[in-house]
Amino acid sequence: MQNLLHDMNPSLKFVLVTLSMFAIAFFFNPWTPFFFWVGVLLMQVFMSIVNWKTWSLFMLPFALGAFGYLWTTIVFAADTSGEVIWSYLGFQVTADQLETALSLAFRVMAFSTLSLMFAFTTDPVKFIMSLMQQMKLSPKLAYGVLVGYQFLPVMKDEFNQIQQAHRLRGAEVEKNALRRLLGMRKVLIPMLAGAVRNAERSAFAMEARGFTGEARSEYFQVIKLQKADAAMTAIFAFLLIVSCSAGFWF
Amino acid sequence: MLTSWKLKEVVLMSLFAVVFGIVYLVFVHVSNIWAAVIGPLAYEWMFGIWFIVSIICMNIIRKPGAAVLSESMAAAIEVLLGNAVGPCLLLSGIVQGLGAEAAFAITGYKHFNVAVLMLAGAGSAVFSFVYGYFISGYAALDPSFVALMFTLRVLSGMIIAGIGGNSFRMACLRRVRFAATPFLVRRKVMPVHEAVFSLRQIGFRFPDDEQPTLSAISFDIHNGERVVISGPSGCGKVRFFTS
Repeated sequence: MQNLLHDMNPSLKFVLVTLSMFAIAFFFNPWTPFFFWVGVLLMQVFMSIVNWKTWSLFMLPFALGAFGYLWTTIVFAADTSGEVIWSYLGFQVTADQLETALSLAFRVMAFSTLSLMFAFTTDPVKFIMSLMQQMKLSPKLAYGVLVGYQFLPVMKDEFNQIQQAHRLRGAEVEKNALRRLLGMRKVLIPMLAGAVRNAERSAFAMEARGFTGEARSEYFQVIKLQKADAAMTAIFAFLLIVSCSAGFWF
Repeated sequence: MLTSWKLKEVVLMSLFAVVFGIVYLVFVHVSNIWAAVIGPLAYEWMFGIWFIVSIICMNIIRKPGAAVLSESMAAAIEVLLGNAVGPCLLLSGIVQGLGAEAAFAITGYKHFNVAVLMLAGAGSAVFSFVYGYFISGYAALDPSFVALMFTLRVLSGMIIAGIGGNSFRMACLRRVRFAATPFLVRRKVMPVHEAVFSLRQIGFRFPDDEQPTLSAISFDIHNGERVVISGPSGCGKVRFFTS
């Protein structure tokens, strides 16, 4: 039970997640995204093993963003009709306004929870492999992405090295956070230059080992669609139907 | 579409996508915190940052698809990194890439000057705005506020992605002129018949030997050619290099 989301076919999970997001995007009442959000949370609790501490850390910026949405939608609402429920300094909030604002805020929460669910239960390499096997992604692209992914630790080392080299030559460490962010440009250019060299080398190495980039009929790491995937599809569909119809009832 | 692509171009795109995927992630977090304070407007003026990889890659590789593929790859890398924005990011990446791609397609993939790059930045902005309008429900917002968001985003796309993307390429070009000539200066490749390295009548004799080790060697190596020098040990391969 706790492994259901982890064992799911990654491509199918991806399709389901995006489809439900598109479906939810049509609704502007607070209940649909709210129910959906709760449903996704329940799935996360019962069908996956998650480190909740990391989860909340990742969720925090989105919760802040949702709050931002809440108040901008109240202040800059398109539809200002309806009953006034709260007014302050000549500024009025109507029931409709609050409703759409809550809807958009819940939408942000629902989408980010859904995305977190995907991110926390999907193995990156399996995801790409599955895209290649189930969604017919070109192996050239798929392995290209995987090369990039495997290069991450190298890039991290390079980043540190470039920074240290800058410091050796007397570049000062910016204390201002914004300036430091803009100063990233100076590290970025040598990193991109290094990327050009690394790309050439690794492509050469791949081709030397017989990689042609043509589609294959057999794979070493086979990723299948199983019966459990059908069940998970049903669960997603059920959750979507419940939350969409909740929007009509309330 | 992919058949005309060399593997090294795909890998180059992927590595650029990694670098910018990380940059994008940093800015996602920065702007999320901003957004809590000033609402969705926080994203708009820096939106161009998220279009930059498509413009840089297209500017370097110059093949149809470079914009949309690189932007999607950057999004995919972000997803692989466990970015919380997850799958919907992949979609917005594809949409943004298509916007830039459209601009390059209109100009027939022939011109890559600043004006076209700015047009591509604007294209990404327009496409991503339409997508955002739908997915984030901008319809619920005041039209004049939405118009402000739109203007900011297009300007940001043109300035940050268009002009910024151009200067990044120039800076890269300066650094990797040697290593990446095939990538970066495509149009100035020398004609094949022109010799780049040529030797005429080279010979060498070790002081103790009677016979010369190397005698009367003449050859040309052309631009882009790969030459293998082989022979049994002691036949003078290294000596050939040093002379």
